[in-house]
Amino acid sequence: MNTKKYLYNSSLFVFLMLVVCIDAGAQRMGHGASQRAMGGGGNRGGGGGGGGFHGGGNNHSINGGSVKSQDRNVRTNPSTGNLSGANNRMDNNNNRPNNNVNNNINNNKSRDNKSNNKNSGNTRNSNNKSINNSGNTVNINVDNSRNVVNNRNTVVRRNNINTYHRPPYAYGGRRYYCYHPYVYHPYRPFYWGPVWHPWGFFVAALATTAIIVAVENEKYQYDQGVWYSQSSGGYTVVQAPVGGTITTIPSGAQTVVVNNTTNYYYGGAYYEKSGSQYKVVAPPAGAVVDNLPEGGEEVKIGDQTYVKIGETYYQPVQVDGKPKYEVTQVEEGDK
Amino acid sequence: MVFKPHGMKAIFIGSFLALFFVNGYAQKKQQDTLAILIIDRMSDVIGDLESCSFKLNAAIDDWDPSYGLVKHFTNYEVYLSGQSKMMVNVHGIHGHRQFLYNGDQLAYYSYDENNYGMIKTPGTSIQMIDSLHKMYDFDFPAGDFFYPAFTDDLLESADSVNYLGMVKINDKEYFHVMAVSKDVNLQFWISNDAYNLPAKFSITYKNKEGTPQYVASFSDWQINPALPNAMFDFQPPPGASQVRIMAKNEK
Repeated sequence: MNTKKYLYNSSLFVFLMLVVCIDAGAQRMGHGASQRAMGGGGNRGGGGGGGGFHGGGNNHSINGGSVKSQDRNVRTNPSTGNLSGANNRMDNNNNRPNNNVNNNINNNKSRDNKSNNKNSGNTRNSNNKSINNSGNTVNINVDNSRNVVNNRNTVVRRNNINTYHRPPYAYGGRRYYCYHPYVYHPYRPFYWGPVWHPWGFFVAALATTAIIVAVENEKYQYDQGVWYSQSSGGYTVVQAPVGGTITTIPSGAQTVVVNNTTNYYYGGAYYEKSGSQYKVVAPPAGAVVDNLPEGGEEVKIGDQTYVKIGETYYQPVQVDGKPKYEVTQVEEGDK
Repeated sequence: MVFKPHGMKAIFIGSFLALFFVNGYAQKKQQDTLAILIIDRMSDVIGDLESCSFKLNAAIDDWDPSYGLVKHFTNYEVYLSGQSKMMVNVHGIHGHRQFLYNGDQLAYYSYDENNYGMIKTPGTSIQMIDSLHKMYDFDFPAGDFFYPAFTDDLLESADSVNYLGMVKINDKEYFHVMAVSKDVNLQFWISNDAYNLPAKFSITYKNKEGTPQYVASFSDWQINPALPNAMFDFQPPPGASQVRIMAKNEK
């Protein structure tokens, strides 16, 4: 079709539209017109009464058929074929759309259910059993409902964001700061040996080596890197309470230096040395750890997948070719 | 599916929405009836499709504080069938990802990470696209073209819509249409052939740092191909882990 023929056809088409269209004059924004046409407020298929739409109604179509508002008063001043445009103007009549889009989205949280129902320790990630599973019977009787309740040591200690030389990852009005770039690797809960138990694990009795530690008027039992809280008929493993002080930590603790401060990481808890003692502290932003305990969930945040444990977001990273996790600093706001 | 903030969808919803409030209601609009006619024809053809597939190659400018504008390229393969079946394969800076919609839920699968997420969102493909953009910042590639009242949407949002003329690109003719708002310039190149389908579009973000652009080209349009329903159902691959997809406003 050459341009002249097309322009002739255009004029004819516009004339026909003048005949069939009625004026209503509503101006809207975004995809308000489409949203009304799709489901809510508009009349698809035949352009019924006030403010309806022409066309549409094709149930086999990929979008239900195109629709056109009856209120395009631009039709009253059709183009004369001037390539620069007919410059028809129309008033903006303030009518804002109702958003009738079906918003009944539910995030499928079957993963959460999964994590709360397991009692064998091997059901969360069946493909993850190769990780230090010498003690894979340690988490029998795990009550993961404790994970939800006890998050005392999961609120991240913030850094000065100016120390981050890498721009944050932004999504949903938040910024996620890390020193290392995002390098995904799957979350595989780690077990720190046969005497270590994950949060929610229940025991009827404690070893004689367990000691009592009081933190903010609450009593905890501590034994070889595991913190317990007394519960009906026994003891349940809980997250290490911030402020809890002990004299020894397991020899397998990882040394983590953040902002010239040495932290010790074991079983998902962070400790700082204070004199001859070790005090439980909140996860320091920027800390890079080798492993994460059970009790986290992988969360897709925009284009990146983090592991969320309580309030802490861990970004999968790679250091010296090895998969690790960095404690992410989350800031509100886009800038 | 772009699933990035620079998708075209974001423009209409975000920038045009802002434009609406900032410029007020009384502003006059310049609307070229020939441009509208061309867009209407394109929209009519799309609205009559019972299925389709196409490829989209997009060049996206991202602002990097260290370097300024950094250009990324993303390739999409899109399949649409009926009102509620959709598949999008994405190859870009975030690797190979797939989005499958079967009319009930959207499945996201990352080939590189071997993980997947599911979002329950019954309805039509367009409703799904619209809802997921609002809740998750997902952007369907060139999704605006598939809104049933695309022309009306454009007329509502833009301050001016004009036909700039016929252009030849690689010996093919295209209608060149431009829509301008306070924040963005949109340009469409619509094929001057039997189908009048979109061939290219560009978005210029006038008020963003560096004036970034989103430029995309369609190719391999297939009209009413036979697409079996089974191809829109998701089966998690062996070893894939399920992840939760966080909504934008989730705290």
